Amino acid sequence: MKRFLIRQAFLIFPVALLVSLLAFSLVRVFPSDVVASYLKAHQQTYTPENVAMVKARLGLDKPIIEQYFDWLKNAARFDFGLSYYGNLKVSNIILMGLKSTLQLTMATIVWLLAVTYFLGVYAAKKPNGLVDNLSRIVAILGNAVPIFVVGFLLIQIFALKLGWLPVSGKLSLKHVILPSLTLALGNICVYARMLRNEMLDNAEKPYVFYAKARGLRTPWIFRKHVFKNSLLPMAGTSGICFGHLICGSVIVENVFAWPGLGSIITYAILSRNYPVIQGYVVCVALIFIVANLLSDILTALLDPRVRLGSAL
Amino acid sequence: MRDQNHKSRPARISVALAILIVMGLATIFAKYLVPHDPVAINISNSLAPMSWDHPFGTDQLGRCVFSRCLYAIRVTFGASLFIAFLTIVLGSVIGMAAAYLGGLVDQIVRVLSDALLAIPSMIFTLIIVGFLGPGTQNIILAMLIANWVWYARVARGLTLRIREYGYVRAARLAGTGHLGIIAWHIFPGIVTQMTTQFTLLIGTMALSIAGFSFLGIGIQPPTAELGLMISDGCELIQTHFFQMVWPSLALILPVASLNVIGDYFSDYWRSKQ
Repeated sequence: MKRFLIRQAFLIFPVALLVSLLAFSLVRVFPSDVVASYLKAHQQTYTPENVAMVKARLGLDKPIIEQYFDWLKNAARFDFGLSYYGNLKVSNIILMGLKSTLQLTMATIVWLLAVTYFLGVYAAKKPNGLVDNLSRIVAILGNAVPIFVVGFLLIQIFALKLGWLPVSGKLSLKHVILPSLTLALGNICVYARMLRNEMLDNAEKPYVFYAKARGLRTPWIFRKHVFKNSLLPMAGTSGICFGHLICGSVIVENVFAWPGLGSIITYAILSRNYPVIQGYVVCVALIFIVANLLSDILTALLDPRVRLGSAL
Repeated sequence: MRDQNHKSRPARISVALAILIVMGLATIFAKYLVPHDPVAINISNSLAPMSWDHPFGTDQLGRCVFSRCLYAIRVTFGASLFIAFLTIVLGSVIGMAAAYLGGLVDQIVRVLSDALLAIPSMIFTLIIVGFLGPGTQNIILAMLIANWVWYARVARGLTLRIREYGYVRAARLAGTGHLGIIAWHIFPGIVTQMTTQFTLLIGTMALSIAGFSFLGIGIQPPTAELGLMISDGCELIQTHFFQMVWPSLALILPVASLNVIGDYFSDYWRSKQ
């Protein structure tokens, strides 16, 4: 286990290096653009003196290597300077957004686990039954309906027609229900199908036959043996799933006016707020590195074949 | 276990094909079918109900929604076809080259792909657009940069296996050049898999393009594009629900059809192996 962890930890370095180079260089590729948007944000004219002043303030007049190390030093302390608008610290903006996004994601995971379990297990119990066919149709639709259409349909039904839930914003626990459900639906389709297929595959394995021979009842075998073994591939893809959730949250947050990272990055892109974009890149990359690492560790904990590698 | 579904498949496939053919023809011959200019504004006729003259009614600016839908399908799916094709070609070429040449080239591709795969392609696209700025060309370029690596990985894995087959070695012994082997012996081996990936990718890309347009950082108005039309329709959801439904259907139906066909093929090839 220790050796496995060390090996996984070493894989982080190329990723971290690439991300830092990406976040740093993308701004330096178009320096005139950066100066222009800085000047525009501070409502100053584009004169040579102003350009020189901004370049000096942003450190763009130094040699490129020195700039990179300066940037890296600050980024390591999670300091990305000030936002072009409102004189706020980028790290504060990002951390606030991160908190909201994580709240949304956690709520989504609750939906995901509950509904996936129900749909997957019942579909596997009766292949080609009602639940199975329903989940198949939902899966086809779920991969084809854009997430913002789902969001607006849910708003239309539950917020406007029935009036049960608030339309948008983030004020109380009630506000999280619709956005998290929207975000969960697309993933539920994928994972319910995956769980169902995996359970049906597992049901034909010799250990199920053996359990039956031992006289165990079928529901018991399904719950205790087949279900547990079917969770492995889902643990393996949980990192990717988290990635999907962060992707989806960009659109969902815009639909429901949820003040998370997704709203922040969309606004930053439209207003060319480069420090915020840089902070976002580093923050999101960190999230993915951690999520992938956790999912690898989870798989290794559950599956000795992965943990021990060739030793087995 | 998958045999149970076998009977229902051809029906699903023919429905999907029919949808694709009808919508494809309608889009190709849109010029002769549309009753009105898709960008012609007529404020006096805004939000007209469905009629023979305007089959889907008109939008807030009095533009014919039916005409706009046909042209929007052309824009959205034209762009997604273009991106999907280039992505698959680029991925296949790089993947085949990396696996066939091995050594340093392979190492570079592997490290690069490991690093890029840590970030989901949509976020990566978003970041690149963030630095390039919003716009049609930029979104296409960003999606290309963000997606090729996934398919290079697929092509690389397939090539690694095919390279060891007897017929490839025999061709090498017979004196076929490297390019010849890649073109005549390895490429035919991966082309079916890559075509399946291509079918699935068109739908994914169409959804992404619509999503980015919805966020306002993709294709810009006044171009008729499905994502933009849906987002316009969403503002009228309470009073004119169908303003959102038509463009949504124009996006959902072809994507669902492509997914059904793509899934069928990938199951088919998997069962053949």
